[in-house]
Amino acid sequence: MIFISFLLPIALVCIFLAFVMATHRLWKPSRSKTKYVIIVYGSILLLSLPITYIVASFTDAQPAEQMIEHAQAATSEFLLAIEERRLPSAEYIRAIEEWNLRYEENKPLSISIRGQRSKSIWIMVERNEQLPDDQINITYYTTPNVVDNYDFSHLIHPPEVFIIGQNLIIHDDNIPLELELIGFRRETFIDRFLAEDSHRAQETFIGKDLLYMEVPAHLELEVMNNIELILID
Amino acid sequence: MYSTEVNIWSVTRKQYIYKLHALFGAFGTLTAVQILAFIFSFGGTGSLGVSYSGISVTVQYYSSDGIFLFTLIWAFITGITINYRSYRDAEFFFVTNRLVSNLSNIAFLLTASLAAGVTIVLLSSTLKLSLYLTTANGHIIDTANIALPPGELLIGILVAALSAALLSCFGYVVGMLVQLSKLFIIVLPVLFFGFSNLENVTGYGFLSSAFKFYGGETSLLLFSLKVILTLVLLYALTILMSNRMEVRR
Repeated sequence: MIFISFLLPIALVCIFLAFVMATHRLWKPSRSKTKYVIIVYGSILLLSLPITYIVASFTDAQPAEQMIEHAQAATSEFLLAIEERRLPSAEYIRAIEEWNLRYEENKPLSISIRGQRSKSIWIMVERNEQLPDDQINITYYTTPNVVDNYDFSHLIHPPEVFIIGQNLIIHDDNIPLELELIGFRRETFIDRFLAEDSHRAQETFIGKDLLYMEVPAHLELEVMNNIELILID
Repeated sequence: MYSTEVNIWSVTRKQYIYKLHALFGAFGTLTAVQILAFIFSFGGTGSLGVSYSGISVTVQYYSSDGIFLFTLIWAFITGITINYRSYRDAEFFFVTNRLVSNLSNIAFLLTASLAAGVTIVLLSSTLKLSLYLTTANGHIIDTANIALPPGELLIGILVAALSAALLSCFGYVVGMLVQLSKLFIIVLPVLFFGFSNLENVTGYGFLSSAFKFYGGETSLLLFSLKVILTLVLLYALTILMSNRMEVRR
C-alpha cells in the first residue's frame, strides 16, 4: 500500500513529462507566434473584466437576506392561510397561470389528480355567485422556491389543468422536473481573507403550490384520489 | 582606474531586460497552462442537490481555484527552469557576476509572479462571463456576484501574485540546490514523499504544517509579511549558495 502511494504521483509526473517532450518535438512555437497568442489572450482577459461589471450592473437581484426573510414569511403566511381557510396574502404568493374553463352545467364536477408533482398541490375552492353557471376560474399560485438563496420559482411550470366531460383533471407528465442551475463560488485564496460576516448561509425553501378555484355557487363537486379540498367560507 | 564605472543596478537592469526577452517563452507557457486550467474549470468545483415533490434541482458551482493551482505549479517549475544550464551559460557573454545574475533572475521571477497574479484574477472574470453567456437565462443563481467587488479584486491579485512569487522562489531554491549537487535530484523528491508518508503513519505533518503556515493565514497583512520575509531569506540563501559554485561548469 505504501509502495502504491509512491507509484501514482511518480506515474503522473512521468506521463506529464512525456507529454511535454512529445509536444515540444511536434511544435516549436516561434517567438512571434507566442507574442501573438499572448497579445490575444491578454486582450480577452482585459475585455472580460469591464464586461462582467456591466453585466452585474444590469441585474436587480434581491439581496439574499431579504430573499430569505421573504421566503420564511411566505411559508408561514401560506400555512396560516390554509389553517384559516382563506387565500394567502398577495404579497407572499405569485400567480403563475390562470385558466377559465367551461363544463356542462347542472351536473356534478369531479376533480382528479394525475402525476407525482400534482399530488403535492393544495386545492382551495371558493364559491362565487357572480360566475356563470358553466364556468370555473382556476389560478395556480406558488410561494418562493429557494435554493442557495435563489428564487427559482419562475423555472417551475404549473401542471396541466383541463376538463374532459365532467372531469376536472390536474395533470403532470409524472416525469421529475430536473433543473440545472449554476452558481459562482468566491475563490478560496480570496475568501479566507474576508471577514466572517461576508459568509452567507445557503438557505433552501420548498415552495407551496396552490390551485385556487372559483366555482359557481351551486356546483356540486366530487373528489377522487383522496384529494382534500379547502373550502373558503 | 576605469574610464567607466560599472553600476551594479544598471547592469542588473540590463540583465533583467535581457531575461525578459530571452525567457519570454515562460509567459507563453503561463498562457498555455492557464488556458488548460480554464478548460478544466468548466467541470465545476462542487454541487448542491435538492429533490422534492417531483422536482430535482442541482446547482453546479464554479470558481477559479483550479486556475490558481495550475498557475502555482507553473510558477514552481519556472523557478526551477530559470536555473537551466543553457540560460546560465548565455550569461557569460555579458559583463556580470553571480550577484547580478541572481538579482536579475529574482526580478524576472517577481515580474512573472505579478503577471500570473493579474491573469489569474482576470481569467476568473472570463470564466464567469463564459458561463453567463452559455447558460440559459434565469439559471444562474447569483448573477450580481459575477463581478468581484474592486476591493476583492485587488486582494485576489495581491494574494495570487504573492503565492506565485513564493512558489517560484521555492522552485528557484530547488534549481539552485540541483546546480550545487546533482544528488539533490534524488534527495529532494525522496524527502518530499518521505515527509508525506511520515504524516500518514505518525500523524505529524511537517509539510501540512508548512502549508498551514502560509495557507491557513487569514490576515492579509501577516500573510504578506510571511511571504516577503520568506522570499528575502530564501533568495539571500540562494545568492550565498551560488557564490560557492564554480565560475562555469
